[in-house]
Amino acid sequence: MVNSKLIREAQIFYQEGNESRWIDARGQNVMKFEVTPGQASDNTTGKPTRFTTVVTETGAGSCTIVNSATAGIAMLLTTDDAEYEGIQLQAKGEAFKLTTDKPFYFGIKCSISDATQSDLLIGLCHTHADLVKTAVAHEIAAADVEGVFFWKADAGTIIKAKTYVAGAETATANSATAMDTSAHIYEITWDGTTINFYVDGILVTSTAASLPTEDLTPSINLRTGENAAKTMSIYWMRAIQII
Amino acid sequence: MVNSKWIREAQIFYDGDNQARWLDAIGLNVVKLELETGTPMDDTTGDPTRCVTTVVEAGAGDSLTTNSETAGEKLLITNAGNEYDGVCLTLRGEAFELASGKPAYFGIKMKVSNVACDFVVGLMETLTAYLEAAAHTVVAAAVDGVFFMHLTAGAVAAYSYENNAQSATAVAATATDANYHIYEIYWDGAYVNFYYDGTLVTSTAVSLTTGALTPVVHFRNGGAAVRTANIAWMRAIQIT
Repeated sequence: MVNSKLIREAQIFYQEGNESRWIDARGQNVMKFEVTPGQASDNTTGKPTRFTTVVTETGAGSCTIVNSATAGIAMLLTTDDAEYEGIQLQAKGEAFKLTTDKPFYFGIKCSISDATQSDLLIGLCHTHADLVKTAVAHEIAAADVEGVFFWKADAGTIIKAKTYVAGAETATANSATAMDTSAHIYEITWDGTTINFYVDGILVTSTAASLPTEDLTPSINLRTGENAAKTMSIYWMRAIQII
Repeated sequence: MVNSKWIREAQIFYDGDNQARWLDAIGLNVVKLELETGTPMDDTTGDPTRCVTTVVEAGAGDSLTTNSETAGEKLLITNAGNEYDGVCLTLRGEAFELASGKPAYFGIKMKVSNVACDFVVGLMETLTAYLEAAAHTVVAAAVDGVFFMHLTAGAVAAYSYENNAQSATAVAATATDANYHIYEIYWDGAYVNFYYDGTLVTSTAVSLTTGALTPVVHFRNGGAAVRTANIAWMRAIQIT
């Protein structure tokens, strides 16, 4: 069931039994971004026009981003088939920020085709050409990355909740839930003072120390960890802030 | 007035006079797609970027899709001037299906400038054309979906196609004209119901399509004269 509550004069719709899971909001001070079916795509390049898209393709073939042809799924990302090839999507603009007393919600329901041989970053990040290294190592790019996000590195299935400021990690915590190929819900909430990370509704960690000060935007980075294509199905993704 | 009700833990907002006319829905299991005011257009091609667009222009002139400059309307389709010229819009992806126990709504409010035209509106499996290239008829050998169709000089009828074959049809009691009409398809989880201006045309549960579907508008001329279609709104909602 859906319930609603008022925060800073905005009406927040949330899932009954989980007040942290915001589904929608109405109000003059509501900022929201949502991925729904029928995403606009450039007629020439095929890339989604609401995102800044960076693809890494070292050889033949291509990475693709399409509206899914499976009912209930909004977008399908498919990497090319050489190690490190993949896709970074960042919603255009930077409409969200960890501002005192201005709460926000970020959530995504997604699945990936290979839980181990893949890199995956999802969350709210400052705009950056490559959030994840494109060669040599399966790591977050060292320089200038800033944001709050989930990260799973190639060769493992541990999902980590992370905060980064100016290219340096300021907090990290492992989720008790390992990555697999099923759909899961990853959520990040900011209550105005503390940032909270959830996997499938279970709290992973909370922190209020050394948080990003930059403006942020919904971000996804998917890479293959071996010489084989990987896919990511996005059921929905939304970010909502009460400003 | 707008009322609301609960279906599968999602809150459905509906027209107070018509429970089958869904206006919006909120819930974790809601899949929805709405044509917005200011629908984004490709800067190069001019086509709407949320759609796979196929245009037919047999001779001179262009078949165009633009954001309408008439208050209360969202899209304007203007065909070139030859018979069969027109525009086929298929929303990208296929996010909807007639799944048991998972109700869905499709609705469109549209008018055409002259009844001498062909159109198909509804939820379909993706194709680049739903009408034959040089005949005023549906592409029967390829179409799957639930839809309304008007063929030049004919009446509006509701159709259900499964596995490229017609499984049900019924003609609306009121013939089309150049005024606005609302075409709606409501899947209650077991039956698909077709409404024309809020009046039930037919219901069927027989041989329904099992594929994934997406909203479609295919509009073209019935003769050698420019026709227009004005779309006031279009939305699809499913509770998964």
